[in-house]
This record gives sequence, structure tokens and C-alpha cells, in this order.
Amino acid sequence: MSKAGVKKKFSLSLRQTFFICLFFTLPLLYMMIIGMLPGGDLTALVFATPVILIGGPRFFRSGWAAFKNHKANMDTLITIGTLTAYFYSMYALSRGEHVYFEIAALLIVFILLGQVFEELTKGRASQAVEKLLHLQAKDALVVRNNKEVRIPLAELKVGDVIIVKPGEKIPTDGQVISGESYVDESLVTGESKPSRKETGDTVIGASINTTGSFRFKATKVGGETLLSQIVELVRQAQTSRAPIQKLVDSISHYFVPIVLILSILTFNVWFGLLGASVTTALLYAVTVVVIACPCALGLATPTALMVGVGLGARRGILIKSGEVLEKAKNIKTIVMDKTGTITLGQPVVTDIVGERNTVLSIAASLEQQSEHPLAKAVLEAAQKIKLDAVKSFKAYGGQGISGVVGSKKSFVGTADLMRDHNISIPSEIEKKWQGLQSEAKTVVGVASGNTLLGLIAIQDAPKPTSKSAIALLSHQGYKTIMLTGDNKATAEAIAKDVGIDQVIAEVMPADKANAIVELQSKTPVAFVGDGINDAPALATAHLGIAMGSGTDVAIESGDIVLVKNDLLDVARALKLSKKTFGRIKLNLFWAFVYNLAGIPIAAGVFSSLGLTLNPALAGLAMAFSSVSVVLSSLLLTRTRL
Amino acid sequence: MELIVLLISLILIGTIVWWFFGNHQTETVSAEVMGNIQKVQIIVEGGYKPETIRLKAGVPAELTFLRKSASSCFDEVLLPDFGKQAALPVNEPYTLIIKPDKPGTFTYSCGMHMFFGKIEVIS
Repeated sequence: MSKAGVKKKFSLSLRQTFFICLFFTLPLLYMMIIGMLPGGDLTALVFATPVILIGGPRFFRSGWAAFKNHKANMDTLITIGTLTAYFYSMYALSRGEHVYFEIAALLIVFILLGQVFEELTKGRASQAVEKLLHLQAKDALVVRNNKEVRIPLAELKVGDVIIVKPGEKIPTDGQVISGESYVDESLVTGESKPSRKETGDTVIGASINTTGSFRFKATKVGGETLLSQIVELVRQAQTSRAPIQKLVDSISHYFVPIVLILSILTFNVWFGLLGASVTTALLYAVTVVVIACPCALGLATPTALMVGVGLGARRGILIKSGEVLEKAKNIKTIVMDKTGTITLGQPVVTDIVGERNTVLSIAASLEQQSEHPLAKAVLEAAQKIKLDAVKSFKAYGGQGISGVVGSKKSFVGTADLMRDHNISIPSEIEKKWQGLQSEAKTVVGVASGNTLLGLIAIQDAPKPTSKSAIALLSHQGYKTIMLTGDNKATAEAIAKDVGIDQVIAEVMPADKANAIVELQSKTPVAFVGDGINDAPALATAHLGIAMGSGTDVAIESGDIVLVKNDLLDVARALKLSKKTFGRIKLNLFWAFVYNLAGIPIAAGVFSSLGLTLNPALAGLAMAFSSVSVVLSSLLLTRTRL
Repeated sequence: MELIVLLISLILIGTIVWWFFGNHQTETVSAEVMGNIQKVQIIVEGGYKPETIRLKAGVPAELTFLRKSASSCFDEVLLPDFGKQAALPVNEPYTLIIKPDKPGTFTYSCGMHMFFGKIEVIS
């Protein structure tokens, strides 16, 4: 030890203390169950004393320190219980009466055992955050001065070009600049299918590259990365206070002193009223002291919160605080933004009428020159089709485009554009055109020369899971509402497609929050949005659920943040919130019932029915009531989401 | 004999009520402001001493917990209003940095919500 070093007290760990005490208690257990050892009561004293001296002080010191502060806790109860049994036995020994040394020793051993278990289970309950941190890569292969060098994660800077090889972990958040691959993001977002990454796509640190190889530029490092933000969020949520805890906190303040008073009353009733001996009355009083367990009440909420929040985090569902759980259980109506929440947020080609390749080839060749938003959807659909060069390109504002493809003048555009250029629309195709439009799709005709070759329908289509997610929410009893700035026809067509109950359309972004306020005057409302332009509505709703593929805005504005962009997670998040809150209530219920039932049994209220408790067993029950609460919280991990 | 026991019991009950629920003065200590940081030490033994600490709003605060009690009651300290939680080692100082932005009175507790301390943030 250095000279300046503080002199450290020698102290045994909890487990060491437990095993030493257990060693000295075994002979006492033998005497209790099988028969006397040589030396009788004196031997009991010899074995019980080391247990009191080695195992006791951690409780005695804490109990005494609390007492001096006008406070009482579990240690106060253990101290009073064990010391009463021990000193009474010394007195009894001196008078040749029955002794209870084994009770004093066993009480300490059982409570130590309970604490060993509690340490183990609590460790498991708080593992979620640590697990997330372990997901990070240790180092990164970067290009510095045109050379590839492997550097520790801490030295990574924004702008570094990082090389990712097959099977490697992606070291930080960034944007792909070359190469392509499929990346498994399940550890961070919970998304089970690997997602394709190519130039321009964003990658998330701690996700795993599969078979391809690519380079990306770091956009976020250190504490700024999505994973770091998730870890910080989970930590804060796990420490947060659930409002239900306030009730427990006010009870725990009175709990121990009231138990002490009950114990004194028990002694008086047995000794004074029922004429029992001092020994019998004292045993009942001690049992009352040791069976009461304020810890089970105290542990009920935080352990369930820790497990529930941790479980969500592993699935990409971030519950921001304990308060959110209580809000979530009251929700009756779920209001959803349309673009990017229910739909993909980008138009895609949904239908093609006519010969697919020909129609797409001509349309895409022309659209190469166009800057119209719909052009992107057509080009996307025609990715695998060879495109032709276009001559004499012309755009007709709001109507369409034309150009010479091959040798013929070709058109992509509205029915009016077709008619203006003497292209006839057969009645059969016209019917299909109108049919597609009634489904709220944007429809364009594709013509070559004077012949209409076919139609292309474009729509911001619902995400693949939206329909099943809304069905699931309806099944769970929620009313679903779509809130959108889009025109009524488009919104209603999408709503019909995915099964939404009600549509509120043509609402300007700034008015979304007002619409939420109005809905909330009737029932508790959850709002699901992508966080970018929905921040006011997310903040206004009773419960804001932000979906946003992990954007900063989404993380800041929601009560619940869904890392994955999947509406099914809304149902999962609400289920998890309800389950976790339910578990808190169940834990509290059992902790209350345990104490409410245990104390009268300990006091001997049911002794006429033969139901009594030995003080040592009461200590065991007390120790394991805390363990059972922690185990009950751990059972949450078995929830199917 | 029974009467004496009853009398002693009543005195004991009265003492318990007075000792635990009576209006006892608790200690309040203001953090020492050193430039851009304020520091305060909290002894963890049978409760948090001082029971109330006073911090200045807007200045990051270094709370050093010195846990002297091995009791499992004090394994953890939870500061929900500041989003902090820590496992406290025995007989070793442990420092937590919090940002007291808003004035007000906040409580913190042990992991089992049995012992409470107060943080008064003044502007």
C-alpha cells in the first residue's frame, strides 16, 4: 500500500460471510432437527456466537446508523430480531431454561442467503444495458494517408473513411461511399432481415456486415452514435420513477416503525391477555419483527421497470420512462400520420397495364431526363431494364413529357396529353385508368407514335406490415385514426386498404397538434409519427410514439421511440408497456399480500388452527419474498412480443 | 407484572412514534462552487448525510458518495430526476456528475426506496 493510501478495512464479501456463517450454523441445524450434540446448550452458544459476530455486524451497524438518523429499515428489524433471540437465550441459559440460539444464527444465515440470491438476480435484471454496450466493435479499419490502418474506436473521427470486410462489425454510424452488402441490424434495431446497403445508404454502428464489402464515411462517432444514444436513453428510463412508486415510498416511511409497534402489541396480547409465558410471547413478537419485508415493496417497481425497458431496448423499442408505462395503459385511440408512418414515404410503381417491359422501358427512358418526383419511382421499377437514349426531350408542365425513343416520338403523361396528341385511348384501358385513379393512385399513359402502349400507376404504398399492424391494433381494441395533410380521396383509399377506422385528411402540419387536442377531449390518445414534422403532435398527445429509423428528432420527441420503421412495433410497444405495468402491479400486490398475510400468521393469530411460524422460518420467508419479486420481474423476459 | 409490561410497552410505543415520526432537524449543506463546477460529499451510512444538499441551478454538480455501510440497502443510489443510477462501492468514494438545470426540490433514494435524500436546486 502506498504511503498516501487510505488504510482499507478488511472486509468479507457477502458470499464469504454467508458460507462462513453457514459452516457454523450446520451443527445448530443438526441440533434443531436431529438431536443434541455433546455439550448441549453450551455448544449451541459456541456455534451461534461466531455467526452473530461475523454475519451480524453488517446488519447491526446499518440498523444502528439508520436509527441514529431517525430512520428504520430492514436491518433494524433483523438487528432487533436476532439480538433479542440471542440475548434472551443467554438469559435462559443462565437460568437453565430452553434456549433459542439456533434461531438467532439461522435468521442471519437465511437473510444472507436471500441477499446472495438477490445479488445474482438483480445482476441479471440490469444486464440489458451492458449487453447493448458489448455490441460495439473494438476497432476500425480506416484509410489514413492512403494507407489502411486499424485504429481503436476512440480514435475514430467524423469524416474518416472506414473499410468494412465480410462478417465484420460496423464500427460507427455513417454513409456508404462505395461497395455494397447486406447488413444485419437486428442487434440495434430488432429488424430480423438483413438490409441492403449501397452508395448513399446509412449504416448503423454495431450492426454486422454479412457477405459483401464496402467503404463508408463516418458521420457520427463516440457518444453521438445511435447505439450510444439508445444506451443513454435506456439507462435514464431504467432509473426513472413510475408514479405508482410514490405510493410505495410513502408507505415504506411508516412501515418499519409500525411493524415494531405491532410486535410490542403482539407480546402484550400473548403475555398480558392470553396468559402465555414470556418465552412464547417473545417468540411471537420476534417472528413479527423478522417476517415483515419492506424490501419486497421497494423492489417491486424498479426491478420490473429495469427488465421491461431492457427487453424493449433489445427489440428496438425504447420506452423513455416509467411514467410512459402508466400513460400507455390508458390509451384507447391511436392516431397515425400517413406519409412515412403507414406508407413507405416514397412513391413506387404499383401497377403496370400493358406489356411490362415495353411500357417500363419507354417510360423510364423518357423519365431519365425528368426531375419530376414520380420519375424516381419509374426508374426504380425499371432498374433491370435496358434504357434507350432520348432525343428531342420536351416537358409539358403538369401534363407529362415526350421525346424520341428509338425512331418514334413517345409520350408519358395524363389522358389530356394523350388526347392533345391524337392518341386514342381504348375504352377498356380508359376503364382501368379510372379504376386505378379511384384507388388514389397517380396514373400516367405511355404511348409510342400514335399508339397507347399501356399505363403506369404510382402510389406512396403502405408498408408491407401496415395492414397486419392495424388489424392487430384493432384486435387489441384500439380505435385507429389516420391524420394527414393529403387530399381526402388519397387518404381514404389508403385507409381502406390498410383497414383504418377513421380518416382526418387535409390537415396542415401546424394544425396536427390541434386535431390531437380535440381528439383527446374524448379519449386518451397515442400519436404515431416519424418525428421529423410531427414533433408538436408527438409532444401534445398523451403518448407520443416516434418512428424514425433512429433519427435524433424522433429520439427527442417521443415517449416511446421505435428504432425500426415498422408499424407492428406500435402494437408490440403498447403490449410491452401494458405487460410491464401489469408486472409492477402484480409485484406490489404480492408484496402487500405477503406482508398483510405474513404478519398476522407470525403474530400467532391463527395459532388455534395450528398455523404458527418459527422465527427462523419467518426470516427465510422474508429473505425470499425479495428474491421472488426480482424473479417475478425477470419472468417479463419471457413475454412474447 | 402484566401491568408493568403494559406500561413499559406504552412508553416504548410512544418513543418509537416520537423517534421516527417526530419533527427532527435534519442537516442541509450547500455545495461548494469552484469555478464551473460545484462539489459536495454525501456520506452513506444509515441514510444520506447530509440529508439535504443545496445546489446552484445551471452549474454542473459533482456529488461524491462515500458509502460506509455494507448493508445491501445501499448497494445502489437512484437519482431519477437526473437520469442517474450508480452501484456504490463500500468505503470508496464514488462521484456522479449531475446537471441541476431547473430550480426545485428533488428526492433521490437507495435501490429499494427505503432511504431518501433531498437535492434543493436554487436559482
